[in-house]
Amino acid sequence: MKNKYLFPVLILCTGLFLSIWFHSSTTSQNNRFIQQEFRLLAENRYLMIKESLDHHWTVLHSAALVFKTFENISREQFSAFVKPLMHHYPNIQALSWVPRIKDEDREAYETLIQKEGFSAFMIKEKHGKRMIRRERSEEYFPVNYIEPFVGNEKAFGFDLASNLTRRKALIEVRDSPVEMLASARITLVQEAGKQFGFLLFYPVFKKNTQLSNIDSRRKGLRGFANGVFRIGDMLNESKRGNTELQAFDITLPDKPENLFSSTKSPVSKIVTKKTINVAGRSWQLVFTPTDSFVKKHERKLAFIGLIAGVTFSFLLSAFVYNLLNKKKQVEEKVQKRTQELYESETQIRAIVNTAVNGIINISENGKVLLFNPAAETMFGYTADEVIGQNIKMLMPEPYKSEHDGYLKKFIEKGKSSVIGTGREVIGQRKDGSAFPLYLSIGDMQMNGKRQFVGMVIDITKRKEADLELIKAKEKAEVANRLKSEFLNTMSHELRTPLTVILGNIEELLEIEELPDPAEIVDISQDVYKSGIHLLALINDLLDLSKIEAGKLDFLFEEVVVDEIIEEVIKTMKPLAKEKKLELHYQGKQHLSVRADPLRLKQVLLNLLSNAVKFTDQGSIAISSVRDNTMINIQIDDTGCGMKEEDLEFIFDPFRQIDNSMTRKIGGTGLGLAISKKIIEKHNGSITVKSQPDRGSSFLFSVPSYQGEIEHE
Amino acid sequence: MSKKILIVDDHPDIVKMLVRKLRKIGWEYETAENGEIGVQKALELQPDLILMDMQMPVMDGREAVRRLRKKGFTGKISALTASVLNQELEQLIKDGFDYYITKPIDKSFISQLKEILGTD
Repeated sequence: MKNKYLFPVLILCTGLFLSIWFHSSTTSQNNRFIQQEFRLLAENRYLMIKESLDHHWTVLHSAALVFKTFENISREQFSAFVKPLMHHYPNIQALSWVPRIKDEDREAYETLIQKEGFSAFMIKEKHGKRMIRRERSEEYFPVNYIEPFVGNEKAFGFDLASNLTRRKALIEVRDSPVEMLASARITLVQEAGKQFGFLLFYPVFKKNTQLSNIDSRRKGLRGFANGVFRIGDMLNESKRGNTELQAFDITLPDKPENLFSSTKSPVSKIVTKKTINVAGRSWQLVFTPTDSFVKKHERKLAFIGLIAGVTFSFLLSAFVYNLLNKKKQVEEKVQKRTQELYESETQIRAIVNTAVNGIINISENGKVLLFNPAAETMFGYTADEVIGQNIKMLMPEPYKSEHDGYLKKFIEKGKSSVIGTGREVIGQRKDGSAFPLYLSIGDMQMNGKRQFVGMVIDITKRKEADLELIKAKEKAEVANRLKSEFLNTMSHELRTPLTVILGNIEELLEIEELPDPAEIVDISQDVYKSGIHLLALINDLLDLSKIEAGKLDFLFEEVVVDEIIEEVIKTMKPLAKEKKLELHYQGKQHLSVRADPLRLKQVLLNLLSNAVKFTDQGSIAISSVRDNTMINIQIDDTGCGMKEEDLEFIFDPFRQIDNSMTRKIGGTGLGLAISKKIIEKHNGSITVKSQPDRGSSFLFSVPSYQGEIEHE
Repeated sequence: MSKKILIVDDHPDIVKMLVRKLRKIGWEYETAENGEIGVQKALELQPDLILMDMQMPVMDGREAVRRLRKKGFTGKISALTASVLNQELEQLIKDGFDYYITKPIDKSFISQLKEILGTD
């Protein structure tokens, strides 16, 4: 806030200072110029005055010379000589001859003049306003010859010594070794009130007078040539219109007397003073410029400059204040925007860094510009390793080689199936392993250049899940198909004995058409056989479905292997004997297993009867052996055996290899499937090995008896 | 009018039952225990009708019919099937069978044969 005012105020102060300085410097320069100009004028006028005065002195000097040269010059001669001079110098009020008359010569002198025609002539003095006869004195200095006479009649016969001022001057000029002497100002009788005048005395001595000797001078003094001068007219003569003049008599410095003034009050401070010596007196001439001179030389520039300067300072100051204010506002705005930008940038950066999906930004030629932490984790590269490299380093072949071409094509044609959408692609990690990922690409313009932003999601898990789902689905479909196949097969298996039963019974339905008794017996045997088979089928199916549904109860107990095998062999012996097959048990290991004896016997019977059924010659061997916690029981035969490709289906329901065999041998086709289920319920397993015409070998294992029987 | 029937079936009890019925009405008959023997006998004897079981060892009914038709046998062949699936039954006609009779047979069996052969 302080700054807001500091600078403008500084500018204002500086501006004002400069304006005033400019003004004062211009003014003083102007003044100096005027003064110089004026001094020249004044100087000029001073010289003119001085010259004029010199001329006037010359006039008086000339007049004095006349008296000096011609001791008895007549009034007419004087007049004739002086008149033309005075015509040239009109400022001379009067020129006169003032003789020295001793008291003893007074009457004679007066008479002489009276005889000349001036009957009223007398030596007189001023008494108040009147002229009276001069009282008696040692000597007199009466004005005698006077030019012009007209107008100066009053002075005719006036004793200059009767007046103190004049007498002092007369005495001084008589006693001083000077050529002439001026009086102090006098009031001119004729010009009273208008201007002052002064007198100039020029002493005239007798010949042989020693001028350097006062006594000689006093004795030799004949009289004075006297000039009366009008100061005002004399000084005004040189007036040129540019100067005003005041003149002072400063012979007595303490008591200056005003001699002349052309103006009542000087208008200017510009003054030029000159002192001039006027026949023993000091006059000071004070020149001042006239109004018109001042006006003429006045320079308006300074004032205009001042006004302009001050105005400009204020304006500039206001402008700067405004500017600063605005600058401050702009700065605040910029700062705010910068802060906002920073926050927004920080947020976007944080989003990019926190995003769980990989974000990769590339240039139009495939150079990686950004590689976020999620992408780092996904590909195993650090951002530093990838940024600046071509994006294809993250792809396995053949995509790696094709990618530059794709990019180029897109830049040229602007068409792509990938941009703006997403799809599954293959990525390559730093360790070279490939993995599936979902890639979606957007394109954008940055500083006029195209860029791409890819969002990648590792879909390895999803792919695995997909695969498992597909597998599960396939499994379910297979199970479903198997189930429906099983039902179809079951239906087929049930219909076959039913066909025999129903087809034969038909023959016995009509009493008139009964066959002979032997035939009836044959039919009945066929029907009975099929009925028995049908029952076995139904029982086996029930068993199988019960086991599968977990509804068949197993009662586990300790079963002695030797005992149960002996039991089964006892059961099967007659059948084996019938086929002339050897049936023997190698074991007698005194092993016992944890089993349901009824079900275990069922399995043994099934396997043993199969062996007997499919073996036409040779032997059937049973063995039992301990394998760790399991007891292995094996049944080997020397029968027809089975092909390798048939073995994997052998435990499936109704998967008898050769149906004709079943027809001949019987059996439901469910025995092995049931046996497998039973063994599995015992936590055991059953396998088969076989070679065609060499025999088969069934091996199953059940857990050995460990003591306590837990009920299920 | 006596007819010659060839029975191709691997189940001896069923063959026995069918033979009883044919013998009763006086028709000639021949039997074969699988498709391969069936084809051989059919080409040799040129029966009026072959009753062909479907599931047989060595060669099943479908393959036997295909071979017969391939070898130019034009006589009538009826499937004798335990199948109940319509899809399978329809497939039989496409495979070259003229008719099919489902197991178990009923009382109309003989009249069905007569109808196929166009006799009373």
